[in-house]
Amino acid sequence: MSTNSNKSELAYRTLDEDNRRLFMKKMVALFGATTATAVLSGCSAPVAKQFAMQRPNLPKNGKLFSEHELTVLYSLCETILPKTDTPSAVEAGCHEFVPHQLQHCHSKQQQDDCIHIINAVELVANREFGQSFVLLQAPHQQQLLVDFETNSMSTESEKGQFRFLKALIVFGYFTSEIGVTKALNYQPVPGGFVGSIPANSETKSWSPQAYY
Amino acid sequence: MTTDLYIHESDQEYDAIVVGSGITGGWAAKEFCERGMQTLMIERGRVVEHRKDYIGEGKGPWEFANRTKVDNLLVEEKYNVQKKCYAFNDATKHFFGNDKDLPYTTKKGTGFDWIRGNQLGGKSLIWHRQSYRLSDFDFSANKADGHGNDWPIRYKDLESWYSYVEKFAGISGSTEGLEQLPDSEFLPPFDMTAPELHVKQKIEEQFPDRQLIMGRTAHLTQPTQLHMEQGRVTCQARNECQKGCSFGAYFSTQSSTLPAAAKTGNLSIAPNSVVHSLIYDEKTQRVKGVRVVDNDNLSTREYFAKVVFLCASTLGSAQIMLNTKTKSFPNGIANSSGVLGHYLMDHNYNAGATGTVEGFDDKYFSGRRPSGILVPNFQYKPSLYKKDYVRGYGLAGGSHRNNWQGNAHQNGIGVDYKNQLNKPGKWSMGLHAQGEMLPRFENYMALHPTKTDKWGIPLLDIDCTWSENEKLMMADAEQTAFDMLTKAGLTDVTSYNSIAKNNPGLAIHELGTARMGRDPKDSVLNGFNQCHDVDNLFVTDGASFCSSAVQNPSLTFMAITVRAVDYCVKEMKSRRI
Repeated sequence: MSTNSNKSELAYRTLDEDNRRLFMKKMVALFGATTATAVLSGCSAPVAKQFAMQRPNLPKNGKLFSEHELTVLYSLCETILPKTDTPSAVEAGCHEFVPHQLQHCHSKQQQDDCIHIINAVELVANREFGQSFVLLQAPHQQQLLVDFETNSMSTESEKGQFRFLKALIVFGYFTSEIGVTKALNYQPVPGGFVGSIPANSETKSWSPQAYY
Repeated sequence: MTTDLYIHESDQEYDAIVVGSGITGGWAAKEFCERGMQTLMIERGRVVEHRKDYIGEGKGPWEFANRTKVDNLLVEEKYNVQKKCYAFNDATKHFFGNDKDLPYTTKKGTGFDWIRGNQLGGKSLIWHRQSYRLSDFDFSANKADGHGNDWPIRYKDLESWYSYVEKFAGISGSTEGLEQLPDSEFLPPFDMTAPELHVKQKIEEQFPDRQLIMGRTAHLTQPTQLHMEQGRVTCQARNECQKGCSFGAYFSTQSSTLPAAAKTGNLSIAPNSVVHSLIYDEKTQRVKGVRVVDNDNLSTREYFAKVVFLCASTLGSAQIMLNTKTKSFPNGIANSSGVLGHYLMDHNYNAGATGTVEGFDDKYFSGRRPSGILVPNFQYKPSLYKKDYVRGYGLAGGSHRNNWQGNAHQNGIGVDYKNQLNKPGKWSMGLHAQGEMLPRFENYMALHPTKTDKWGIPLLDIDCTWSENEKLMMADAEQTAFDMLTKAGLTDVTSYNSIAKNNPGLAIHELGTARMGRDPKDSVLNGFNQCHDVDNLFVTDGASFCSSAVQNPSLTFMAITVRAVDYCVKEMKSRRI
């Protein structure tokens, strides 16, 4: 998605309409249409905004992330690997993969790092834009993460934590069925090894072997 | 396979018992069966049927709950050691031993990572399949520099047996005519990539004493009639071998030796049978059979045979022998020398370098090659040794184009970042040392004085450390690999030396513990893998090695095993056994 076309698309919307649309989309994706409709019934954007501005709730039922943190994670996935000619990280289910994988295959320290970094991004969004990361326009989300990853907006250790979370989202993407079969060139049974074939700038990577 | 292949109880006196069903046990069973001998193969673990039980095969990563990573809780509970193996993951974990059921101890301040595959087929299902002959420089290394005892055999003793097993197993590779790495009976080699061919040329120009060759690997690149008769077809280059291969494209017990043995009608298999010890007859001074504890219900039973071949792995075979204490052998059967359990070795895979090969953006490869390249040992005789240490190392490696796995950590957010992850990146290439480990009496395994496992067998207590020689070798190998890549024109070359943090064991090439030798006073086995002290007891796995050389040892396990069976059957027929 190029920044220009994004701008022109947004030009005729009010900010609140846009926020509400995005928020609704995320709520539906995360919690299902029924819950999302209940939360938003009769409400307009300010309610959504208020929801997003709340302090993070503590997670329930032994889950790693609160619902609020999950909405931020959802937006992170969509911002880091957006939809292009191949599906987005959200379409590949990375927002669900990350909490699952952290709980089953990573250390407490890595889990805590991810919780911290999600809240750190949210804090920066509130400080810089006065609202949740979830509600920012896509170009702002992208710029915020670029800044977060590269400049003084974050500490060195936060940069490391952010890269870890980013790499986990990437891992989730390229090990998902969509990532393996759509984003990359998939050869479940190559049939043999050829040491040299031509490649050009359009050549896609092979999907790596199916274990890591 | 016949339906009565698997047995539970039996009073029969078999001609031969083979303990273990991995690479070595599979070959021993096949060779006995094909010589008309009634053979009982004993396996401590469960039955794994070719194809049917390859439950991880053919699945994409998304089909595993954790994308082929293993759940923390399961690792914590069962796989604290096995997790260190490069091939251990959610698609292969059922072919690895359970560390909870199979504990062992190591001496304080030492460590040994013991990777196990306790099921029918053993580690032949999960091995790395690299297959190399030893040379006369290897067989005479101990004699030449005085470390360890002299091998009682030389290359000419094994040469025809190497040929025999290679034709049957199927070894791909290139004919090179190197004196330190004799050629095998080869199927065509796998291709090198364009950067590998380039680096080969550069290295061979800059270092006239070194060659860069294609790895030699037990894969059918072009099956012969002999392989097709085993039900095996061409390697499909999936490189997911350790999940099991229904194409039978790599050599395993299941794909190759087991069907051949079963076809004779002379094979029986006793699965779930943990060998506790050997039954020794003081009067005849022979073993009569084995005592077994049932893997599942812990009941005991015995099996009997005229000869016993221990093919239970280097540590496993020695454990059985040490646990066989008799009046004549209070310290373990056939241990009059006192060296049983000693001279434990592994290979030393702890240094190397990687770098970027510039260019070749217009070149890629197709398929996933289940092999790599090799720089054979170039310090293979004393005149070529470095000043401060003895013996040498080979360098294994390969090239690939970076992908999302390497590039994910780079800066970037959004469309451009995503598009870059979809594309092949720069070529990188590595060289990783495979060093020889010296045979030392101080490196040993013994039975734990008090602790036993759930089958009532004393735990192994291992004391094995790297010596100064291994440390000096890795320091040199790190620098050498760095220099070779740099002089070959690679950029961003980085090197590593991990010997301080890695225990022996992880090369999964355990060797020694019941070494061969000419002198019964300082060795357990003679040159035919027969115990000096007990005529009808043989050990043909890695336990019998006098030195480690640098080559992956499995091909030599195969060759010494078939040679030992041939000898044993001739001796039986001449009534000397």
